[in-house]
Amino acid sequence: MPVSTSTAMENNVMENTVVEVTDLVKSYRQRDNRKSVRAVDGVSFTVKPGEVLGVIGESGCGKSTLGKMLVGLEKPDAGAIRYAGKPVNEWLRSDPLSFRRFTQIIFQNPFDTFDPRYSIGTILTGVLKLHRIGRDHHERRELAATRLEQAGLAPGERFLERYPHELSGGQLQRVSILRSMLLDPKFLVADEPVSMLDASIQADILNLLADLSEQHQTAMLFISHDIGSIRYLADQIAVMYQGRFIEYGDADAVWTNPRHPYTRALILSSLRAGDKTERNALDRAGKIAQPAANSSGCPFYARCIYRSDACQVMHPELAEVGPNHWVRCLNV
Amino acid sequence: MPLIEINQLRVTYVSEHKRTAAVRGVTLTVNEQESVGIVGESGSGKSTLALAILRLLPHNTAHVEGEIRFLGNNLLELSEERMTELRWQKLSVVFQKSMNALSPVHKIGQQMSDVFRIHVKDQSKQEVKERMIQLLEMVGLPPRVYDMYPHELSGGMMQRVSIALSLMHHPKLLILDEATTALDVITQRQILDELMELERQLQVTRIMITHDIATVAYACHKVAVMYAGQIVEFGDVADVLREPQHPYTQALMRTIPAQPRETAIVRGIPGSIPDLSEPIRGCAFADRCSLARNICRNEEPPQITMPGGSQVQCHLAGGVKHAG
Repeated sequence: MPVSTSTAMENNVMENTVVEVTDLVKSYRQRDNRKSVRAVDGVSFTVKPGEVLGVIGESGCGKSTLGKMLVGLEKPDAGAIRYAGKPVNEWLRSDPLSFRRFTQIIFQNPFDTFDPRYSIGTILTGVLKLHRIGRDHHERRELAATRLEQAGLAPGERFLERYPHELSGGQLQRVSILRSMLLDPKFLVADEPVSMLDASIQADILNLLADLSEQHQTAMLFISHDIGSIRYLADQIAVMYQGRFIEYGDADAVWTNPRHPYTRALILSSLRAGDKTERNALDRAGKIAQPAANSSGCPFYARCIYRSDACQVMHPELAEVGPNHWVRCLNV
Repeated sequence: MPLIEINQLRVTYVSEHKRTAAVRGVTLTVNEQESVGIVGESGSGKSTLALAILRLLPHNTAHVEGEIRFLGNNLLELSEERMTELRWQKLSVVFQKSMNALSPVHKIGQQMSDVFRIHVKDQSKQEVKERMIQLLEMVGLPPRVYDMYPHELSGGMMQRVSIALSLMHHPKLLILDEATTALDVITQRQILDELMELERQLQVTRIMITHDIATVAYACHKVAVMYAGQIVEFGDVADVLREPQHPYTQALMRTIPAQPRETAIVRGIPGSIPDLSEPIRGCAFADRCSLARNICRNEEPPQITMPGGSQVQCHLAGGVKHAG
């Protein structure tokens, strides 16, 4: 949230918010020169229970770094993350187990997610045992088998015996999702959970995620480069570009009335089927100049077709353009 | 004018214990300056089809039958020498991961010149360099890329280098095997736009293999939907994607999310492609098809030509919608 709107936000934030992120920053130092790159550069947002925030952006925009910071896999340089009102860095230090129960992450590649030497049963009961769920091994296996069946992997008993390499990508991603949901987290980060999978499987995985978050009222940060699946799941959409949210707000508002030139290009670039009117609109709005050297102004300057001289020197702030709809552009 | 005619192509992968029929009788004609998208889920045989056209399948394990007529030859009968001449010059390919196609230890310009000189031997170093820089500019890359290494380029830039390579000898036929899949949508669209423009200028015909239907809708005239090694539906993009006739194509279209879940729910296709090392009885999709009847499980479906000209391999083709 931009500074100017913070007071307006504060009133409804405290009530019913799982996740509250303020001015998050993460820089990485480049190896050969001492210049540092700001992967995440002042990101703020809130998520309510059961709400899905869809983060979209091209590769390198910082969306995965953001996801990792939210689950404690990367340490922010500055800014604050609060879950259910509690500051995350202290929580993570004092009680890592309960932190892990609160928040979980699903990665893009299910084949990299699991240790190949452990069976699915060992993996799932291991999580339960660590968190002291279930009285004995038998009960934990039963619980794991039930969850497998709920995620469409029946009979669960048989899947418990299998090893990761014996499952297909889609099956393994289901295991990844159900494992992260085993502890009934209040907040889930899903980093490109379907982009490795076939179209025939993607749809089911998206539905599984949506159903689970609905049933358990889990808040979710859904990271994707596919605007179709963002549109499908997200209640709020954040468009990320060079480490910042350049457009953020209610999904319908962002989708039907995109205000940032980059968002427009993004939405129009991914339109389906060659509808004539759609294509003409795309030709007007979707043409993007080649990226050039960085300027001190708007990071999108070099690629923008609506740019003015002011954009070259002034860094745009996030400004409210409608109810729950913010855009970082001088020309809106 | 047909540029390439594929007749009853069969590719079987032979190993010690089994024979897997990856392509099971594909017949496809692509006319000059047309662009055909081949879609299907993984394991449908679309990449095998591309490799068969290029004759890049391993000799010892892949058994290829049928006919591929291209520029008056049957590609399957050409000698390896003749085939090497055709590749790059008349027939070229761009793969998904160009970082794997490019050598990491040689500069881009060097690699491009090397490929160029395989077929053109009588030009000086300087001439070749100028030509390579022209090529880079043609695909929207600055001349400095000539002196860069692959790791210094972004995915989009590398894909552009691969496209420049594939177009350097003005081939008649360009095959893209998931060539834009790994790119973000805006870069993908830019590259497709540039490619379509270059095709117009250079009169190139394109076969594009992808699992992304949106890409085909945007960049192709025709589409062939592959399932279990066969083309189950083929026709103009506008016909096939707007009103798919085959239950598989219909199901495929419903897997693509584009609207909020409350408005239009997407659904996966239950089941999986049948084991192609076992003989298939009837229609290969029958087990996953909610419309399947007895005939579908027992008899191979006929090829039916629809009023719009598209071809559908289904017993129930013609006004049948997938139930539910």
